[in-house]
Amino acid sequence: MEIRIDDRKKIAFPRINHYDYAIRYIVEQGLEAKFVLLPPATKETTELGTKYSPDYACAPFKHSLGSLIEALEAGAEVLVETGGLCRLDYYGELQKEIIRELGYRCEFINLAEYMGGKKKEWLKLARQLNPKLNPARLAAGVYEGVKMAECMDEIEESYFKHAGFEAEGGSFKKVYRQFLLEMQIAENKNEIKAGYQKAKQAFAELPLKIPENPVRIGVVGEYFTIMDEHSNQYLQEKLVRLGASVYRFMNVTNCHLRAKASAFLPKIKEYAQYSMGPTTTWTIHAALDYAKRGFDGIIHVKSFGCTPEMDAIPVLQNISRDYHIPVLYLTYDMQDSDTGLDTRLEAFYDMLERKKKVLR
Amino acid sequence: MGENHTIGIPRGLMAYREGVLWKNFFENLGYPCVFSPKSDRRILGQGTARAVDETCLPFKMYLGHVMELKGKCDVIFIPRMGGFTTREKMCTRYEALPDLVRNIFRDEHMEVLSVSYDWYDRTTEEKVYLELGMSLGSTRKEAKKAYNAARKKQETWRKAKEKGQQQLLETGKTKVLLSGHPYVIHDAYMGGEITGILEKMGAKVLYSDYVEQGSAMKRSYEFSRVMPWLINREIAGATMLMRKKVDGIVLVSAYPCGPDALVNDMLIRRINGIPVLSLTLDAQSGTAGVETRIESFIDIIKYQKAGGYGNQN
Repeated sequence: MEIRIDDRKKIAFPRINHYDYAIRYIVEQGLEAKFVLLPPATKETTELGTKYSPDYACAPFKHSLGSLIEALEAGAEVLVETGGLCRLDYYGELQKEIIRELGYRCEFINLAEYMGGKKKEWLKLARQLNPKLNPARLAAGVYEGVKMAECMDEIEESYFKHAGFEAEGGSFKKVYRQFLLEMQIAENKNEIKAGYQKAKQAFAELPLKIPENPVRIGVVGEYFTIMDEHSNQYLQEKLVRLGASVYRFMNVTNCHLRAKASAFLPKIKEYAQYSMGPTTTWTIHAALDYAKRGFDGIIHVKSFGCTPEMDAIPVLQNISRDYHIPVLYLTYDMQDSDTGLDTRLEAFYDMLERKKKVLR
Repeated sequence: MGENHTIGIPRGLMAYREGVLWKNFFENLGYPCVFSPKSDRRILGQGTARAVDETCLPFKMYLGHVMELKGKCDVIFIPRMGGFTTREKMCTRYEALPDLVRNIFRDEHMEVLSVSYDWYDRTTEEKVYLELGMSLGSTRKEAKKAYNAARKKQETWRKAKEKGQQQLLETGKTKVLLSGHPYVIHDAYMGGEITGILEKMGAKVLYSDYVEQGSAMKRSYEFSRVMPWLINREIAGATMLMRKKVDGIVLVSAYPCGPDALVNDMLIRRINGIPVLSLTLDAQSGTAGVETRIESFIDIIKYQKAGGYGNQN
């Protein structure tokens, strides 16, 4: 009998909602290494992250640190942290230091060091992760992984738009869950495509019961907290359960695969002359768009201490005044309980519904 | 804008670092400048009333200064600073500054003079000031002359400060390094209080931004290759350079400063063998708490100097 030894490196990345599946696809199919796919985050993840982070580091720092520590416990050998245009750029360096201090032994790759670098450097990094790398396979894997993210964004968007109006309770959720499961185990582009088409078809066939006064809510805000369901305590899901149709511009497709943020600047010049921060242009543009399209309300989501999003608030206040659209501001830190959030969302939803019935 | 228009400069944020340059540049072009008065509790109070709760203390103070200038000048100078290179950026609040002020004071119709630069523009300081000068209606040549003269003044001012600090190092008294953003440690209401308390206890106060800038920047790249913030680089570099020359370090940060939250955590891990006090300033009205902490910190320094807690290693 032949003994097969898996000598692929075990790579882990901090959780970011279902994008984990796309990252897994890129790592396993493109890089041909092993990806440590973590189970959904729990209270313990939060506690781990909070315990070892500086006090007023932003919530995404704590969430990703918690994820990385859990990945190490699950056997990861290589940790990857990304960089960005705000504090995110410094996450990697500090997390590396914290993890070393905790006594873990692992390779730590800080993508902030590679950002804006040459293609050659990236290829060298890929070779370091898998010496037997096939560059053509990697390119195909990255392309298909990104495609998967795009498919997930589209299905997710459709889910939150319609699930609030479903005729039969739970029918949308069932399709959506099945779709995510298929993405989680997809191994080639045909499987991605099949899963996507199946979900799209199923959504189109599900009966809807649109109320007399449907409430449409736009969600805007900070990149990580708004996308990661665990971080925002399933905000969109909660709104859907209340019966609202929820829109969110911010996702990987809209932010990285479509027009650049600077392309939106002329549209918001009434409120901002310059780019006010890495995600602020998207936030302001999306909010203004929702206001102009006659949405009933906007929810602004951010983690505590997120400077760029904090700076969007005065602008949103002005938009709210100009277009008479209510805005609910939510700031997340590392809360355990979500009863407070429930109460606020219910009150907000009731107010919007009432406003619609009485005033229009 | 006409000849006799007055330009107002809020005494907050980067005015503590580049104020001399700004003032001289505008005056060389023929515009009189007016600074807002020194920070006090009233200014902070009026700024806080207009700011989003969570914003940092220096920004609230800055808003107070902007309000202070209302009616005293024709236009308020608020530049948009993004930094010049990828690893020497500014906090994102500086990218938002002019738009923030415009949005917050929308109903007051404040005239804002601004110039914008960002790290991805690949521009230089000179180009930025030429653009600013030309937007005010002067010729390229005039703007260049004004900038060069102002730059020289700024350099002389810096050199004098650096030299003064160098001389302080030679005194035998207890020396404490105050490390933090210039607009925190030199602000009369924020850092001023701390300096006052330290001096009252007989310590000489040194500032992280008066350490020789070139060598501090160089040292900061040894501290971290990827750290993206210019001012934090200066603070970290200066602190690492001075840690053997002073008796104690006070790391001052204003609540809730984004970059400081991460970098100071790293700094404390890297500074060894010298007492460090990490102070986070908030809008408290009393100084008794800070006083107690500084007092015990000075006691620790004195105790260590006298042989202290046994073996120093």
